[in-house]
Order: sequence, then structure tokens, then C-alpha cells
Amino acid sequence: MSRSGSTVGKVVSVSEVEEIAVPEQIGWDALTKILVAYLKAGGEKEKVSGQAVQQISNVSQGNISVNNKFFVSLGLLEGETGQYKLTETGAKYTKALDWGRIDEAKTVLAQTIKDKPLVKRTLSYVDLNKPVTKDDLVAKIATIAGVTKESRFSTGIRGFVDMLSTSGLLHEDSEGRITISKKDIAEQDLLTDKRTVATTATESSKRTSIAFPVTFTINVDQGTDVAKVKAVVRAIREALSEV
Amino acid sequence: MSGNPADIIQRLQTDRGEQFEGAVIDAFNYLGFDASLTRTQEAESDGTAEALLAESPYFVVIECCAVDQGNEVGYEKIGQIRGNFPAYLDERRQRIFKTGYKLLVGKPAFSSNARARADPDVCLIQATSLIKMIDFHSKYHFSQDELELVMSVAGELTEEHLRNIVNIYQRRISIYALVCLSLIMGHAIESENRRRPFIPAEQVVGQVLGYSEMLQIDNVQDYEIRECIRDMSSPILKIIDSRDDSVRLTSVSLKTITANLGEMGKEFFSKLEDYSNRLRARL
Repeated sequence: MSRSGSTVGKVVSVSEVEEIAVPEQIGWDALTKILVAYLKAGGEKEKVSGQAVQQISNVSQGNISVNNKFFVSLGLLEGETGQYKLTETGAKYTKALDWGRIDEAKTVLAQTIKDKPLVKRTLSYVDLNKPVTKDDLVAKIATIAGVTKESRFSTGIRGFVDMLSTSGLLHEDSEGRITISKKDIAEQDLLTDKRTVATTATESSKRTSIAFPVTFTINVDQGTDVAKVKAVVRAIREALSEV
Repeated sequence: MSGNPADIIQRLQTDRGEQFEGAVIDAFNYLGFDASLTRTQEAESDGTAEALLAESPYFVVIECCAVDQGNEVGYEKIGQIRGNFPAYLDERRQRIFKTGYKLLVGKPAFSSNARARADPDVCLIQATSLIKMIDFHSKYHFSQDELELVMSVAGELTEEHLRNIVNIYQRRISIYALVCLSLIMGHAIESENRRRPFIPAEQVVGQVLGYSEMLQIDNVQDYEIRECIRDMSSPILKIIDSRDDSVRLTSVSLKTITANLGEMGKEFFSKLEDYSNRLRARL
């Protein structure tokens, strides 16, 4: 895979570059087949060869081989060139899929990958620029990963975007606009709210040490004299400013 | 391909090979699934059925096998469907569905080995059980959520599994009949279409509880009766009018309503007559 380590507008550490890998040549359907084939070939317990995975998945050995690094970067596989096994969460995810518990599988996948560098940076890009199109996002991810615009990468990256959508981390509407999922937005809003509450509390404690809660209710109907109401409000304001 | 249940049942009984597969897929379409044949290559099963209207959408990968009378469907088919299943976990299905099930429909019977190895993730349905499902569905119109109780069976589907779903309907129909009786008691069923005053729902609930005890219908609960009253005043059943927690029979004759409900209506009317006779004999 051709890539450079400083293509994303900020300095990327060597370890982070190492952890960023994108799929190549194949989409999410074939990537799923590879992962489940690892399970069926016994990859939950021991390292298995690409050949064993190829026989079960019907995906070519070359395509399995170039995508193992991607699965390792997401914490789904572990091992070195030629021999890989499923991680604990990789096994949990593929077992849930193989048993047809798709919802459970999605949750496991989202939990496993959400903090991986490529996923985090993709989600934060979408959050800042939402909504984005798939083409824009694919180009951005290629930049983050430092890969060229060759079709083998764009096919793989499209698969990666599909992976984020199926895991529920991204949401793609019927017109192809991509946003981060509502659940994620809710989590972020919650964080923002907590931050706002914390900031407001700190600022208000700096301004004053005592606060008087004062509430006035003025009932207004057709017969109300607006000029008198204004006068009353003005008088209250003046009185309070003297406290 | 046909949507006529009698024709589907006949084909399930007599067809073999691809014709049998077609009959199974037609049966699933009749049951309300979006089902189609999918086999285009070796590593694929015969069909899929999708339940998009279920509360938690699910899909079913279907393998079919019809062998000669006296023979049995072997365990090899279980391995086949397990092997084929991942091919159906495409991006669309992973996005839309919450659950996927593996189903083997076979006839005339499954081997003991196949039954033993189906657990924990393959459901086995004999063609005769599928025929029963069609019959029950003609009467009760199962929802996709109710049918999920069948698809999620690990191992062979038994009469008891089907009874569990059917019992829900039969119990409801019994309570419908008791609610009707409480609104028409003292009058002949045939004259029930005359307008009567509204009766507080509370009073109807009390009467139904009393009747169910007299008729020895097990453990009928207050909330079940209220649910049934709600059903009966829905625009679909339209058996009773409700207003301010009071109810009365609609002006539409019970015979017309039951005729509109088809097979389920017949069961309702026959229960109504039976309960009416038994109660009159006791009161």
C-alpha cells in the first residue's frame, strides 16, 4: 500500500500511521465473508492460513491477504503476515453474525472500532462537515490514510464507509447524505451539555457568590394597559439593581 | 407460481425438486413474507424470506429438501445451510435487519441426526407443519412478529410450537365472545342488532370475569378483557362502540361482522353460541 505519513494537515505519529489501514479491492460484503470464514476455519482458537479462509469465503487469497492489515488495525484480527486469528471481539462479532444476531453483531462492531484512529477521524470529519456525500467522504478517508485515488483503494474505502453505516456509527439517508448516527450525536450533545453546564457553573461562581431566585408572573389580556406593564417592569428592574 | 393456499398446499404435498422449492417460497409469500428464490450458484440456499413489517425486521434463509417416501432428510443439509448463511449477510441485510434465521423445510421427515444437529441455530419445518401454518394463517392472519416465534425455534418445529401462537388467538376469540355475551345477555343472539344503551366498561369486565369462571376458561385477567374491548371497538373488528369508558354493540348485526371476519368469524360465532347455551343452562 502506498502512503505517506503526513498528508492530513496535522502531524501524525508513527504509531498512529501504523494503525491506519484501509481495505483494498473489495467491498463490505466480501470483507464480511472473509471475517466469517476466519471463524469457520477455526480462527477463533488458532491462527489460520489465507488458503483456508479462501476455501470457505470464495474470496481470492490475494484479496484476503491485502485486507488482513485493515482487520488488524480495527482490532478484529491479530497475527503476522500469512497467519492470523480472530481477536476476542473479532470472534464475538463473527459469531453473532453467523448465528444471525445481526443487531448484537452491529453493537459489538461499533464498540470495537469506534476508538480506532481511522474511525475516530472519519467520524469527526463527518460531524464537522455534515452532511457529506459518499464521494467526498471516500476522498477524505483516502487522504487520512495517505493512499492514492486508485480504484482498488476507493472500492475498499467505500466498503469501509458501508461498514461504518451498518455498524450504526454513520447514517446515510435515501439521498446519499451521510451524517454521524443520531445515537452518536446524542452522546456528543450530552458531552457538550455537560461541558456547557460545567463552564456556566464555573463562570457564575466567579461572578457572584450569592444568587436570589426571583420570579414574576404578569397576566396579559385584551384589557391590559401595556404602558402600565412597562412601567411596572421598569420599576422592578430599578429596585433590583439597588439590591 | 400461485398465491392460492389450496394450490400451494397441494404442491407442497406432491412436488419435488425445484417445484417443491417454488411451493415453499409461495407458502412464505402467502404467510406475508417478501420471499423469493435465490439459488444462482452452488454456495447458495434455495430462497430467502424477509419480514420488513416486524417490530424488529428479520430475514430467513431457506433450504428445501424433498426426498422419497420412506426416506429422511439427512443432517448434511444442516451443514449446507450453515455454510451458505454468511453469503446472505450483505451490506443491505446487515443494515436493515436485526436478526437472520436459518430454516430447512423438508419432507417427508427429518432424520434423528438432523434433528439432533439443528440446535442451536437451525429451524426444521416439515412440509406438513408448513401446511398447518398456512391453514392457521388463513384463519388468524399471523403477524410477522408472531411468525418470528416459529422461525426462532432451534430444532424441529412441533405441533406445540404452533399451538402456542394459535392459543393466543383462540383465547382472544373466547374473550370477544364473552364480551359480546355480556352486552346481549337476556336477549337472543339474533336480535342483538337493536341499539342498546351504553354500559360502563367496568361492568362488562366484571361480567366477563364472572362468565369465564362459570365456563371454566382459565385465569382470564382484567387487563386481557380491556385489551379485547379495545380490539373490538377498533375500525378493523368494529364489533362494539365505545364512548367515555362505556361500550355497546354496534348497530351492525353480529352475523354480518362474523361473515366479514371469514374463518376467524366462524370460530367467534360458534363460541358465542356455545357459551350462550351453556350460560343459559346454568342461569
